[in-house]
Amino acid sequence: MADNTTEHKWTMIVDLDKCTGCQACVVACSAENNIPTPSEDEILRGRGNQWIRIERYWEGEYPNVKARFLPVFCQQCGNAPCEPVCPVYASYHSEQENLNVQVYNRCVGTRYCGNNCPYRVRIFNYFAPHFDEPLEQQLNPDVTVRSPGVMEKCTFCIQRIRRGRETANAENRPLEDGEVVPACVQACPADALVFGDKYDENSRVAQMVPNERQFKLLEHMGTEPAVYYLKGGETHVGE
Amino acid sequence: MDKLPSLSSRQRLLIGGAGGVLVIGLIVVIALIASSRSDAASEQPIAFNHQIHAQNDIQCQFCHYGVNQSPSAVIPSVEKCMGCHEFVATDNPEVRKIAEYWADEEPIPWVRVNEQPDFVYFNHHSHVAAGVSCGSCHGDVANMSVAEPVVNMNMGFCLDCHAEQENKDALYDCVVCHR
Repeated sequence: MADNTTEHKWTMIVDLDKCTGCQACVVACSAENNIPTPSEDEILRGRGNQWIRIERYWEGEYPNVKARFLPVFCQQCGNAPCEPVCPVYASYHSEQENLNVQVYNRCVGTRYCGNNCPYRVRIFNYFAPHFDEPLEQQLNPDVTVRSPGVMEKCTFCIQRIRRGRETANAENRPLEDGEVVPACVQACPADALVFGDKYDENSRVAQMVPNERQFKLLEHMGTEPAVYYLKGGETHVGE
Repeated sequence: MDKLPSLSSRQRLLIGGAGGVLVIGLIVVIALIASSRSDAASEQPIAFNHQIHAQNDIQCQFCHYGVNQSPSAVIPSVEKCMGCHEFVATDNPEVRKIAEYWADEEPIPWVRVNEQPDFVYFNHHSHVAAGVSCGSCHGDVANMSVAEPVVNMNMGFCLDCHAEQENKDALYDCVVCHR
């Protein structure tokens, strides 16, 4: 059982055998994290603002073609390339949560972090946030509505982690496995995403890794990502 | 020769005029800032008196019941006020105003006294559970007839206290307050 005063290693497992590429996680993420819906035009210009990118691969030759999907979000690197390049320490490593955190109110928008990220998961906020009616009514009060000119990215729903931890601390009990669930994991209809604390031996993620199907994205770069992908059957993704 | 003095006097006028406008503008700005800081509390729709309530042994948590369960301390609903004031001090003119809001089924438009920027996430529940008294941040509200902010709640104020705690490292993490 995890002790709240010790460190956590928040870990995500993505089972590529189960992912159907339905984008429910992307929608849930946008709703949870106050991400404005980008227009088609912005997406085509490469200015789309989505914290999860579903990469699509086609495998096989016509007519035996299969679509494969690879959801990519911030890998919460243990040795993150984005951190040392930030001149104002807006991108820093939270020792307690073992997460790569972006402090929006400190960010001055140099975009060094985004350029140094091998996963291309950091997004620059080009526009003032705009929410079409009635979406402005459902903004999450626990998450900052970012102003234009700052970098942003997946936080593993840090607001939910903090809320869970603060509640557990106030009730003087340890944080339980499954108590903190990011929006994408909550929304995934295929249960392809599993989230938890790897330092907690009894957690679901700790029991799922090591796994013979597991691999990490660009592992050879030494970034030590906190996201494990489980390779799908008959696929070459991750090889 | 005639032109030079007339030009310089015009310049002087211009400079003097611009200077005057600047000074007046500064005074207006300072006055605006000053009024927005200290008079906010006295412009409450109802002259609520914390002192009278505290003298009658009403705990802070009775009205601000959120401090024990949520990040927000909660401003009590009109229903909460009427719970007592349907029977207590009903002839007081300020209490009659509550009754009017109650009859109109309208919330009381209280003016916020203590405010944090949008990117700061303060949690009352954690602080109360850790044994921080209300007065450490809000001052001696129990002896205030008009509630006013007493400390400048900036980041230095928060961190001064966090630095003294046992789990200082955890409380120095940016995500504790910014997310």
